[in-house]
Amino acid sequence: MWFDINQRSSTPIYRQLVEGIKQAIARGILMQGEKLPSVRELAARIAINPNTIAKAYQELERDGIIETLRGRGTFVAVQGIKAGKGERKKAVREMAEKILVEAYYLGLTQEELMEILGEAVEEWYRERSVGK
Amino acid sequence: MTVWALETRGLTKVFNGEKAVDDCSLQVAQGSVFGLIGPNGAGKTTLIKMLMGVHLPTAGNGQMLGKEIPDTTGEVRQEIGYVADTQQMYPHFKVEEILQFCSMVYRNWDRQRCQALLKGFELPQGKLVRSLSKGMKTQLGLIIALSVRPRLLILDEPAGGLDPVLRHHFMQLIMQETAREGTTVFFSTHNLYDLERAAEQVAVIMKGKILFSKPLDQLKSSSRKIQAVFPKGMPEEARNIPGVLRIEEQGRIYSFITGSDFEGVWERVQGFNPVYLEVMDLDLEDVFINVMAKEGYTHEGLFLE
Amino acid sequence: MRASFWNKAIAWKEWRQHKGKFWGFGVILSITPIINPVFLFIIKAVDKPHVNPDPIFNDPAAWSGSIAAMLNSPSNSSMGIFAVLVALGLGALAVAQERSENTLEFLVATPLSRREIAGTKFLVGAGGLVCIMFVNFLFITALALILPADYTIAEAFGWFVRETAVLLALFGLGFLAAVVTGNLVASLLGALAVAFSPYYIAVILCELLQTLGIIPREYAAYDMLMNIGRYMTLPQYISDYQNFVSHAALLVPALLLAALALFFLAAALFERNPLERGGQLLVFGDTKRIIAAVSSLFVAALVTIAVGNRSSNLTLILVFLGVCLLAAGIAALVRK
Repeated sequence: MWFDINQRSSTPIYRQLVEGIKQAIARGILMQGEKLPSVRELAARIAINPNTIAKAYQELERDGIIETLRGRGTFVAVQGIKAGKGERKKAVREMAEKILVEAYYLGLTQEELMEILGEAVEEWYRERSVGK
Repeated sequence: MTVWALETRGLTKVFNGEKAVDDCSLQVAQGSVFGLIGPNGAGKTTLIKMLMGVHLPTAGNGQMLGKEIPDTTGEVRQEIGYVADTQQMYPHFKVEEILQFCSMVYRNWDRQRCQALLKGFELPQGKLVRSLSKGMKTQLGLIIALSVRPRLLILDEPAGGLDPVLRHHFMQLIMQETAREGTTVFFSTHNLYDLERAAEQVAVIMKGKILFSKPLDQLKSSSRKIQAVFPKGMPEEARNIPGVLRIEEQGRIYSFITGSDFEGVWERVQGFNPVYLEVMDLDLEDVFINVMAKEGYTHEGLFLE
Repeated sequence: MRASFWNKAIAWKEWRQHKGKFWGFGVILSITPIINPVFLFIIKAVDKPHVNPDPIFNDPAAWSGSIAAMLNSPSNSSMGIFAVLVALGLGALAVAQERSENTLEFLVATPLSRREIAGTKFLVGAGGLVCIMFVNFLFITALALILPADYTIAEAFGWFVRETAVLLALFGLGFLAAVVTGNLVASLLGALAVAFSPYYIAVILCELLQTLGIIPREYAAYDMLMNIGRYMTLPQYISDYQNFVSHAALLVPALLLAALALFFLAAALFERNPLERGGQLLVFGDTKRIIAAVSSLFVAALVTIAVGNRSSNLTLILVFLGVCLLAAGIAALVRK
């Protein structure tokens, strides 16, 4: 599930939650406009400090990925994915650089890397279109 | 201004000339979950027993929920749920008799809640305390602690002696309590995973002394690993960057383990124009080993579990 | 208001925890006044009632003789040494059982004050003891009302007041011993020692002071010391009952006061009890050091008395101090 926590990971728990929700939205596990469990509910469910969960929700809200409607709860934002596009592009670029470094150490050539990336991108969008 | 639900000022306990707890000053913010971690025999239980009035402190004092401790009236304990490390209840009493006694002692005893918890844990009321397993006794302890409608929960090794499933239920209940009621939780553990999930503030106790008390986030974010590869080997100046706890070498890769001021170290390392630079978070265990090593303690015996 | 010595919840718990003991001890004490006569009546009723329909009810001595003897001198009845032990035991167990089962930690961590805990425990135990005595008193009074008896109700009442006073003081002593000591065995032994030893301590002290030439036997101080020792030995009141009866007007209030004083002392000590040394003999102070001091004093006194008649007073004082130091030194060595 998107709220699974890997205790062995060195990633802080709140970051894992943020990543988990982002991925779940991107994969369509969480739909736009869908209601998320409240901080209290989630804290009790996964036995995590409620402030940690609140922190994750706050970060997601700041990024416009989820939104809290007073008295009604927390929802996946409707244009969540579009929000903050400039920032997002920059972040993706940074991640891409990491992949490049990794590829360099693995001794991949430019063509090989492009092939792998192309395959991954194609597969991703194919899955997404089937899902819809 | 932060309200402290629990505060100790120089609490000290001397047993036979040895300081079991040495000048312990802690502050636990209201509504927070505070984890006290340390190896067995570090003084966790002694400290908690002093808070609960079981041991009288040799020196020092404190306050809980605004009431001074040590407290001769016992009034301060009315709103505190306490789960001891070993449950020493009357062995010849039935579970329901223990509960009846508690309901007479605690002013805000919540009978319905108690019944619901009994059902949830499937604890037989007619059983003698003597015939309960260690885990069942701990459950009974938690049932009592939650039925008093506490504003502060004090838990000494709460998940000790429980199997993984119960352990999870136990932590769930406690997190539920703090999320719903804003109950402050002060718990001791030697288990880092419980600590990381539950606590937002953490204090380390070793040989009776509090080494430090910090937000867990701060602890984790200040202690990270920066891996770098330099074009012409490592520059000499990079060896003395302030805030670096340790430098590990592995082939051409140098790992800087930071203890504080991560950002500062990151900029300094970047300044040496490395060809490869990466940050890695450390898991809590590494963080602790590094921080403790800096405090002059090795991790011997600390993380055996 | 908060400084209360009584709490209902503790009382309920004490009763639930100790009722078996109260019943058991009650039965032991009532052997002479209740069980014995009842048994006699039953036997007589079953034993050929038609052939031989009587004598026990017409002959007061046949059933009430032992009760009358008890009222005159309890030491040969179930109200003698048994009662002394029961009173000490009830007092010691009230606290020591919680220590040996480690439940005291559970109790003091609840929102009860230590004063409430000590006070209620004392009052429930003492109350139980008074109840046992009162039931016995009521029973023999009722018998004397129904049947001709060898004793009067006034005698029974006098006995009840006097014996209860002694037992309450003994109970207080047992209770105090348990507050001071760390475990069950130590508190029972301690209570016994404190109850029985004042007389012997007085004997040794008088003998020593006489040997050293400080207080010769002819001095009034000698008798006074011996008397203090005797009066402080509570079981003495039972074994030397007739003497006690003649001074009861003074001694009964004194004993009740002693019980009260022990009560407050025990409560005060319990409040300051660090409660950390479950397995140790003494909770306050260093057990080994105290034992070393007491035993070396004891040895020195005996040696001095033994060497006594042959030397001058000054040498004897030196001998006393020398043996004191020597024994303390040995004790210190043994400790290490």
